Amino acid sequence: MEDVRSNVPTGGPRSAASLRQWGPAVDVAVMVHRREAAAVVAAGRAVAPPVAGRAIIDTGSSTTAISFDTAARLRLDPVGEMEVGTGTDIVRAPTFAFSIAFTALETTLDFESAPGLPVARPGQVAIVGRDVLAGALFSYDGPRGVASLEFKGGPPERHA
Amino acid sequence: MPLASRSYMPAGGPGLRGGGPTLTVLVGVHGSDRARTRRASVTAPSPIRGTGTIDTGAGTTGVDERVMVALGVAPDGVTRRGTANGTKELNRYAVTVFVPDISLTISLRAAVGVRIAEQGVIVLIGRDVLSRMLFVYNGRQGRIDLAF
Repeated sequence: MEDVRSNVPTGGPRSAASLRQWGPAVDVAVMVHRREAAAVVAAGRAVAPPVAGRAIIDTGSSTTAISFDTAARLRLDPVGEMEVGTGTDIVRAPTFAFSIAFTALETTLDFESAPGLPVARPGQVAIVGRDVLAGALFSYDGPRGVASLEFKGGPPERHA
Repeated sequence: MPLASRSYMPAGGPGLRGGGPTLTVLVGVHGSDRARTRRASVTAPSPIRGTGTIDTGAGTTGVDERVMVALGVAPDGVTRRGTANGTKELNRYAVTVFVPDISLTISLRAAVGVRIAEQGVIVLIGRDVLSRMLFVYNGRQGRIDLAF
């Protein structure tokens, strides 16, 4: 796969202040896991439409996660649970199977069991953690207010 | 502009993916508190050594509450912050964080108190500090670069 690169929109005019306030966010669409979606379609049923929004690129998070609201809108059932360090404490969170399309990167990744969290920020549908960043080059230029994300040589093959 | 690099080897350790972009840190009382203890002829507590993680998901730098208790520093207020676990009220502290590997001293008037020691870290270096830095996270090479 060719290298793909995206400048990361920051939720408003690009500036040091907006990057600091909103964080490095990338446009994504969270969807029912592609394998599950194929099975649902094969059974003649309707698949919940993708949920578009922003995902914060979070080097403090070991795992990618979606918001509870997103999981509910996709009508996802938990497939398990796991302990997640949230930055303020450790919580036990339900996990879900889903896929995330990185809109500007033309890349879709599948997650077999990744947590759902009560993300508070409006418009934020996911957190991109170090499981995804393991296959990426991510740069954060605080003084210039610019961030970029690149899957050099393509994204990692598998995720949680 | 000072530049620092660190590579994280998976062998014998969690690597960059498992352990995150970590640095050794020393957490001490803020300069204003140090001056106050000097005026009162009291010895300021020694800085506490531990691990800090560079956390682009954190808007504000966080310091483990137990470290602040050990330093004898009381919160000077409360602030509301959106977290991955919902909106929380967090104690606010003045604190100094020193990163010896890169000789960087960070003086913060409004760090937040968090409970992260169970995760093996005592500081989450947030975007308030990163706003002064260029930070490059190379996941494939297991390496980070910092310029400030």
